[in-house]
Amino acid sequence: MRDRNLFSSTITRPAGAMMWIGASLVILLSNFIFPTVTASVRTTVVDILSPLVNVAGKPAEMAQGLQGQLENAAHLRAENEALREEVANLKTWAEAARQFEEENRRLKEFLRYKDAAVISYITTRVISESGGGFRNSVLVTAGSHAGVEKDMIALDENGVVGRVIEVGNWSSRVLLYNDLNFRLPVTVEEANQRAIFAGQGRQAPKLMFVPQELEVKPGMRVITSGHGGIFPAGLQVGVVQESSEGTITVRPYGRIDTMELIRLVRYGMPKEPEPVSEKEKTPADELLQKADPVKTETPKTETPALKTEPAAPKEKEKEKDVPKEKEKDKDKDKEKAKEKEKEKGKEKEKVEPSLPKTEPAPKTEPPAKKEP
Amino acid sequence: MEILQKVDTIVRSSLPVVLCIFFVLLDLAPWSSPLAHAVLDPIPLIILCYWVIHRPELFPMSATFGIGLLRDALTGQFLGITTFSYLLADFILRSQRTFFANQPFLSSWMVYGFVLTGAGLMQWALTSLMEREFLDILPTLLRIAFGVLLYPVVSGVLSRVQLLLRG
Repeated sequence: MRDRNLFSSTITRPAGAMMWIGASLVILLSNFIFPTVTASVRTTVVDILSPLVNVAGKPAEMAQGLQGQLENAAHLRAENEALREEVANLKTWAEAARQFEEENRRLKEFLRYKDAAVISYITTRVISESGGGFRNSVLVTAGSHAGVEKDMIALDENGVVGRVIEVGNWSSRVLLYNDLNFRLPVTVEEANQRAIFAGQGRQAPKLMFVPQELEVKPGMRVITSGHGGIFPAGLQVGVVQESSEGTITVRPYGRIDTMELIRLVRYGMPKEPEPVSEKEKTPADELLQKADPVKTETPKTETPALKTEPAAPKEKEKEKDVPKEKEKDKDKDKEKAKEKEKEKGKEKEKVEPSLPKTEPAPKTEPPAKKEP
Repeated sequence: MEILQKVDTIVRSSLPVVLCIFFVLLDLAPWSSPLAHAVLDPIPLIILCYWVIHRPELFPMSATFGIGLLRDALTGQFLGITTFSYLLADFILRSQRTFFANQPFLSSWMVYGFVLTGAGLMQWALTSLMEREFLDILPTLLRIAFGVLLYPVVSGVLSRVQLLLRG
């Protein structure tokens, strides 16, 4: 029995072949003409196929698990010893970190320091690598529904591994730090110098835009600068590996060859500062108030603009609502008012003169200069 | 019985394309090893070449187009690069298939080597052009070498599958 073609296509003629090749060329060119459209097509395809990609990744997951188990069995005793040492070491560090954290918290409370933004994490699983593609990226199982946004930083347990470049509804693509297009604003911690961390493919990443006169030594830590406000400052990126003839290479902390779970850093912008009530005021507030009374004053809940704007139309409405009959009585009222003013004028002559009630008393005004 | 026959026909006729998609997805799995990707990357093209030469009616150009587009989308590279290179390979082999099909194994191996090298270099050149930067060619050469070395093994397995399809 001869198999029938499922696609019922008889395209073996040159015209049909040219049609498909032409279509692929159009798509290729559309990367330049309609980059947003091609990006959205890519994310849609990835979104639809991510469950299938997830299933296809199971053999790799199993193979990794098996490999890990075999390695663990071989080095179990040595690893156990090393871990005990590490735990003992980390306990002292944890205690120190707790003390610093508490001290930091107290100092921030004393100064009423509000952090620039709130940091939270989205932990997600890597389901796919770029395979034989030319771009070094991974697909993760969290998308816009989980709160993922473009340009979020991706971390493993050691440090930065990449940056989110495409976000679908249910999946996202993370560009890894070894991709040629990867750029990240960083700071060389000890030199306090800003630079750009640039991916170099198979070679170690480099630091760009570092002044030649600046001395960057191997071993200096590289952290995110937070420049631009998209991600927080101080995230661990790597350590300077080599610095010679204007070329500074970095050994990243993040391990892109073994990552299974990664964290995406969500960096929220700050909210409006809440007004400080008199009861909540700290000694620091009082000191600051003395130094700069305007900044530390409790902000008013209503601004003059908000007060005056709605008032204007109300007055107009009231004016419209005045009945015509009352307009006739206006003349009579005016006459009565004149009579009253005359009476008041007579009383003022008798009593000592005082300031009118409607005008506010100038309490803090400086004394007027006496004219010569 | 007729329904079962229809299902059987559908499965048999779609097996080459499904097999190719399966290896595309397998290449994308997080193997955490560049070697695994270097081995798995050329397999979809070997499958494509084999079926286009031996049973072109089971591997239409629309399937080649779709697989190329799928791979481009999932690897995150420029859409159309794999599609264009796969379609060119498909077109060359399809237009000369009667000649290639009657060649001894060594000749077909050589032909496949040329096609794989051409497709790999084209992908590299197009990506470099679009990135406006000369990309590292070594991974591409490594994948081509693995593809040429793997051809006898993969084509041997595929010839068994072909016998299975005949029933």
